[in-house]
Amino acid sequence: MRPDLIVGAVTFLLGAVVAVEAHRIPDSGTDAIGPGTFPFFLGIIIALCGAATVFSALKSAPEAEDHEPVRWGVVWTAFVLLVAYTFALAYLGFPLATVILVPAMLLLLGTRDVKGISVSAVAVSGAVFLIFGKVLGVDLPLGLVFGG
Amino acid sequence: MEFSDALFHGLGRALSIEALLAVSIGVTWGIIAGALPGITASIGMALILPFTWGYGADIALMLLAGVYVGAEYGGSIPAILIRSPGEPSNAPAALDGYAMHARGETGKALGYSLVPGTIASLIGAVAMIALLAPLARLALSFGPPEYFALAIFGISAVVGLARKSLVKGIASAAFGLVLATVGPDNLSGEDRFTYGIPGLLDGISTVTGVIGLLAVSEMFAEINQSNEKQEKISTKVRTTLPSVIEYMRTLPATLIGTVIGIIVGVMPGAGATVASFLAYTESRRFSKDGDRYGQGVPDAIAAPEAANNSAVPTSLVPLLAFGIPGSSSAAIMLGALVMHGLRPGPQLLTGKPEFVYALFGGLITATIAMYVLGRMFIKPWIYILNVPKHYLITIILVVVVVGMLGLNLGVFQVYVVLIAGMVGFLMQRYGFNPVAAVLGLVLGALIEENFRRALVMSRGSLEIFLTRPVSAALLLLALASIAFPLVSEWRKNSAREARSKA
Amino acid sequence: MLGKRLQAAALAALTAMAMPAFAETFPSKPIEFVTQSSVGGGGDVLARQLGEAAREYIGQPMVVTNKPGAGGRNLENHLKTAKPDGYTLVVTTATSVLWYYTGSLTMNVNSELKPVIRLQVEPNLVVVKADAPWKDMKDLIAAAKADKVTFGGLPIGSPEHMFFTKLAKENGFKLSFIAYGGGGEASTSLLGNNIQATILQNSEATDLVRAGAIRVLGVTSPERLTQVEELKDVPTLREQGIDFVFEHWRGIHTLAGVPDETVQFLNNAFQKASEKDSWRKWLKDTGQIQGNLNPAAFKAYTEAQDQLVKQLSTEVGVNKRK
Repeated sequence: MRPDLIVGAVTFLLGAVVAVEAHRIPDSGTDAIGPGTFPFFLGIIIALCGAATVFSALKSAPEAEDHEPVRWGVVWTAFVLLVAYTFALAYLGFPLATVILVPAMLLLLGTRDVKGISVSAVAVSGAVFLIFGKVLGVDLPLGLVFGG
Repeated sequence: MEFSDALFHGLGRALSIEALLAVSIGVTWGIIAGALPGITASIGMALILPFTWGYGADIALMLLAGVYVGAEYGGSIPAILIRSPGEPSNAPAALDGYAMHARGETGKALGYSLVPGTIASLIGAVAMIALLAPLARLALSFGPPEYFALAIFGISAVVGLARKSLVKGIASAAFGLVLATVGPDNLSGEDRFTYGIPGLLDGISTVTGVIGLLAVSEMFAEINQSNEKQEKISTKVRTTLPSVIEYMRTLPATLIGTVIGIIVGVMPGAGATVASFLAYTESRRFSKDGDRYGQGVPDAIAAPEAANNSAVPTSLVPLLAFGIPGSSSAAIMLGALVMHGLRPGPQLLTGKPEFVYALFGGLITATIAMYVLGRMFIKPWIYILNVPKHYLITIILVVVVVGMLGLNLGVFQVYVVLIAGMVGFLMQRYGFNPVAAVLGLVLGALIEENFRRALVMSRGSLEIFLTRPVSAALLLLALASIAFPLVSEWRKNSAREARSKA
Repeated sequence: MLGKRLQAAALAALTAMAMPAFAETFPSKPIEFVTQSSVGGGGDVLARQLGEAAREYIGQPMVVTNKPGAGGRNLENHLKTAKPDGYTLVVTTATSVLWYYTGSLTMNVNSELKPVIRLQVEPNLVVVKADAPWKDMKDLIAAAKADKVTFGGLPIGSPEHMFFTKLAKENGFKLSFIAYGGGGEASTSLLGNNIQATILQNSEATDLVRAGAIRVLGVTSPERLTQVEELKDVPTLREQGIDFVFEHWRGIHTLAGVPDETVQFLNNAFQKASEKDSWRKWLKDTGQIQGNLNPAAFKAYTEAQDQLVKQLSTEVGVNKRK
């Protein structure tokens, strides 16, 4: 199926959802334009754009639309890793979580240099902790292992 | 005090050893803070403010001025090197700057940010002092209708930005505008699209949107290509700076950016970010390389960087003239002045003008320091970032997460940044325009709030936008800005058809 | 035997009971001020000034922790992790009371915090541009009825919005109100004549009054502001027949559960600090008004304000806590 068809449909749906949700925002009644008006119109615009995309996808010939294929597995894994990392920060603490994340990410990206991986795991964790945590005073959690 | 007297005294204070030291420390810290994604100029200033406690007001001002000036340049460094603007106002530099860097012309890109920024900062400081009264009047004359018109003008540039699909470009901008509505509605007190998530109670901040949609999405793109071989570009090529002639060629763009920065920077609520985006889109019209904006064009870096640097001194105009801070950085300045027993406002100008002139002097010395330090560090930056890509990507992602935590907006914003990154990546992949979305996010509040405020002023009539001259003029410009590329595109197409038929 | 064990236990119990008497060892480590304002903001500067002025009486350094944002939630969350040992002090303001009803604050100042000292008051001033034709509230109301006035200020839930709404209701005009985020947006708008009337806090307005840019039509304090040179001739709203009294203030609270002796100790120290010339000068330079209250009086004050806000917000329809 032509990708634009799906993309257009998704866009249309997104616009519709925005418009519906915007409609539900209660109006305080003091102004002509309530809090829901602007997002409502935006939702309509997005939906129209989505519909337009679908139409133009139907009209045009199915060209080989593409650029290189996306390595979805790798990209999504990276995403999940980062989300998990963020989540783990509060429990494992910054130093430990980072020491786990760095090698995981590097391996995912294809690094095979064991020394480089281990050195950078410690170095990045330490350096960032020092610079951001100590010098800049950012609240970096120590987690259950180191602090609490 | 006589004007020239006070000017002299003030400048004199700026040239004392302590002042110069304070400025240097400030600029160094500013460049570093600005360069760290997530740490904005105002945060950098806020972090250092407590340290000024024991010193005089002068020194505090010098220090903060240095930080402010340094940060606006500093933010362009990661924008160019890793496509993660250190400040939202450096986002345009991330577009063409990064493209240039990818071609190997890193030094040139950094140069095109530094020199125009220096020129603009100097001009801006002079404007602040010399044009204080007219600029202040300008700031006052901008009411809700004018802000709305300005923001519409800004977003009309989306039409020009759209590369492949205009429809998708519009959808992207609209998406950005929707993101801007998340959170509390200032005018009615209702929460929109928050769904009870405490992290969304304050909405999606510009920094989150910019870093997520532009920087993190680029990281995902890099991750996608991480199995490709990294080509070696010679360090010599990388570190070459632009020649004087090349700088001269970007002078028109620099000046356009400077002027836009001065005018837009004065407006409370608009500021450096709006100024730099406007500079990007407007300089494009006049640039010889306008068509190639986005592919790594010197003008496309010079104009926005000039704008955000000239916006620094002028954003202080409302503060100095009325005691009203127009931006978060100006608010920190205000805090510093108050902390040291000074009240900015008409009183300061008439009663103790030497502080204002000292500030002026500080801005000048800070700009010079910024140039010197910036120039010194161009080569080191390049060497530092010569690490293999995998390490670079990983480090950047860790820094982004930490930087976002540093914003003190809560862990949830980090999730938002990551999701925004994925969204930006998908948008890029399927022909949408994350830059248009960022534009929408940045301008959204300006557009909506001021439209509604204007309607209250006019008691519901839309005429107000046309009866007020500035607003009408800006709206007409916006209309032209939408019509022009469409018309010339249509003309090109019909000419092409005519030719193919012939 | 049992007797000896009992003795030991009794001795231990007695010693434990005597521990509170050792409150004199308070403080033995630095004290933390937590404030809703960010660095350089009103509460932050107050805390820093206080920390400096009270240093010799407290004997320990005082640090400031800024927890801005999320409508006060960040501050609340931070307080939840604090122990009621007197080392955590909160910079409270009238908005702390206000946001319990009109904002998203879940912490009630009166029931969950213990007052230490109130340090300053900030009456609100109803202001118009200096070149406006209105000389007092009566003129303004007449103009509003003739639809010549656009009001402005902080959004729904703020004292000014509630006041203007009430004013409109009681005088029969339709309120046209433009909401601005804080900072000086409302002042700038007023100066640019995009709004014609707003309410400003004393410290924000003083310079503009001195410069002759704005005129004050009325003050919201219970009495005229005789301590402020430029404002001593301005009538209160009450004098002009409008029943609205509201003051912003800043003070120090601590967590409920902190022993009374500790609170008294802190109060003494801060009181002495606020009698210093340097403190008084700072207040004057920044246009603030001294308004010290001891814990008991402070508590009565905040309770009264709590009632006022509750009643006013319900009347105007913005009470989120019905």
